[in-house]
Amino acid sequence: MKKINIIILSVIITFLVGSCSTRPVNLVRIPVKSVNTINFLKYKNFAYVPIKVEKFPSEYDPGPSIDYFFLNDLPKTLKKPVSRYEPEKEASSELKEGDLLLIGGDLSLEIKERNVIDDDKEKKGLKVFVKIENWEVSFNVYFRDAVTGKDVFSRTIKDSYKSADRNKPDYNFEFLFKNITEKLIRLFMGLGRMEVRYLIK
Amino acid sequence: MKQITLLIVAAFLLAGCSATRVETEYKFGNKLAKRGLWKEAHYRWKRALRTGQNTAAIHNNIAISLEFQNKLEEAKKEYEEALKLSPGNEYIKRNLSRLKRRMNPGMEPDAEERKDLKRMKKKEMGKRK
Repeated sequence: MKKINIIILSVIITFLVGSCSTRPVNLVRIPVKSVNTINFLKYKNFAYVPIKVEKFPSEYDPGPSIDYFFLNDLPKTLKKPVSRYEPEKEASSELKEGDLLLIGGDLSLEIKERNVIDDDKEKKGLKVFVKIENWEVSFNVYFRDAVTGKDVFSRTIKDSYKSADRNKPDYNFEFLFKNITEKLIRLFMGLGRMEVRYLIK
Repeated sequence: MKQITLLIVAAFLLAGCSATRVETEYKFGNKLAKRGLWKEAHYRWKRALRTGQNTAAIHNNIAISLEFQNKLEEAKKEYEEALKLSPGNEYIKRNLSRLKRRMNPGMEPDAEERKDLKRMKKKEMGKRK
């Protein structure tokens, strides 16, 4: 009887102490504004140098979507017009530092295939494998002063789409490019990025 | 006799636990910070410092509140002060390295921070559900 009592007491103590003990830190999120945002006001003109694309399926050209973003969507974010870069025109004009900001880069795609079980057919009792694609896009982007040639901002942004339908390359790319451009805008505008810190209890 | 001894031990442990629950300025500051009231939390921690609670934890937490207010140089000093008081504290070291990354253009979040961010997002999603 005594032994049982001791065991019960020790279990109670363990639970009580356990409930009192806590982890030493809390994770907290703090919104931060990037220090390295571009001083857009400094630049009078913006020119888009068409993005080089690599390793895309031959039947799909992502060029028009990319151009549309840089020539239509980006100006709305910057609140400044962005024109297509024309080297001859720019060479003839006398530019000074801060006059023209070039926006360009390259974008490459890597497709990895894998076999997965078809869910619909599995419900009917059939084990059929189907091929799906994993699309990974890597986008190197730069914002470059046209006179000094210095990059005022450059980043590599990556994103992936793990169950891409090989018959819908336009949808796969649009989905990825939307994520990438959102990340890009947040980065260079320094919009409400979140960072994590340890708050000690 | 053994039972009495065990009961006394249990009573002491419980008393110890309840003592830690006493609301100090410091802990109140932590509560405010978790609710996002960083400026108020900062004020509480500063008060705790003035009352003689000069600990690494307070300096660390003050540094976070300064980061929240975009006072990065001051925050760095506070983290460094915290590390002086607790040189081996891994959490303070990580906070300081993240601040340095924030101050250094071009550096991306490290893998550990990405994990922490995912963990926090999951937690928040869970709360919403």
